[in-house]
Amino acid sequence: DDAAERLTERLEPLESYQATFEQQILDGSGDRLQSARGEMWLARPGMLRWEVDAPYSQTVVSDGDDVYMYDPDLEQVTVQEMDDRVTHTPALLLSGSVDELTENYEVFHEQDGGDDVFTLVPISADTLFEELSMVFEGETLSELWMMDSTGQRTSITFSNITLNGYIATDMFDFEIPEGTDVIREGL
Amino acid sequence: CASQAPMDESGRQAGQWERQQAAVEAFDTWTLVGKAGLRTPEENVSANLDWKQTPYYFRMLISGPFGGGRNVLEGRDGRFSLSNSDGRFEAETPEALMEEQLGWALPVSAMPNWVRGLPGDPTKDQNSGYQLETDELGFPSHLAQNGWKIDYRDWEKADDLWLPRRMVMHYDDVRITLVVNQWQASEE
Repeated sequence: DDAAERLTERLEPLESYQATFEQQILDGSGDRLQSARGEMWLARPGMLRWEVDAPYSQTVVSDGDDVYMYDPDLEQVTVQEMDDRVTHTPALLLSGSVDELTENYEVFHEQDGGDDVFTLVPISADTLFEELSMVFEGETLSELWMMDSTGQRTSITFSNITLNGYIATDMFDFEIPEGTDVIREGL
Repeated sequence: CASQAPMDESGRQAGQWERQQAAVEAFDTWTLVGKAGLRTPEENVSANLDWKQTPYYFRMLISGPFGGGRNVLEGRDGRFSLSNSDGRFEAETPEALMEEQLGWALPVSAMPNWVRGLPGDPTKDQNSGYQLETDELGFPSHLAQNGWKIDYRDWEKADDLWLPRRMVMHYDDVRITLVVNQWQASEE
């Protein structure tokens, strides 16, 4: 189907993606429940670093196999296998395989001013969102929107974007700091 | 010059808690951004907390990284609801709601006071006798109430009030760490 092909054309050339982000969670009536800022690094296959800087700090790192969720305030790191539940999170969608993407979602496309908006609706009901939209300004992904079943919306807007730039691989290895409690879930 | 009152590195001064206690009690409409870590023999949970509190209403967003696994707990006039991707649920108390939906609970009813360094509101619950110990500067250090033991580990200045930044709450073998990254007075 055309929309899925056009999205595939956009995503496949993407080997790496680096940007600062602003994440907002809004409830059904648009009231802001949470906002966070930070930086994200993505690289195929399935490698991610997601660092929230403000108003709290938190780091999520995946080397493609395991996902480390480190919380400096709680001096705790949770280590999980990279499974569908975690990879459904928006950031990881980008670095998974593209045919897996279009196999699991119906894809729609619309033009919004200069932007191309691809909307993904999960075929299986149990994902974390009912609808995910990817907004492209030209070739560049600039925003992600997710709507969940309670009408809550998460928006992630990206800036200072580098496409296919060099990212040192140790960015995706997580060094567990001294004295941190390690919690292994389902490993 | 007048001898400086003893102070700790974060700038708290002896006697400051007494001087500001009335203001802390009056500080009842706020939002808080923080973290909750819960440890029991079987369970290990950490979550982001985005908590909006007024004297008549509270809303607590409990979420994981990327805002995943979101639960919104709300309370108004003694009615409590929790909504998440499975739907919307109601129960008599916020604690029962969390236990039912999340399998763990924060002592939500007393927390609006505890998180400010104040004992739970005696008018609200009966067996609410408490013991409070203070540190060498006169700030709360240990509070015991309703079977909970709370240690105030760290403080931060928000606007012109010293408020807790880190506290550890024990109840039997449940241990909850609460960290406040941001205190903010809110309007309505």
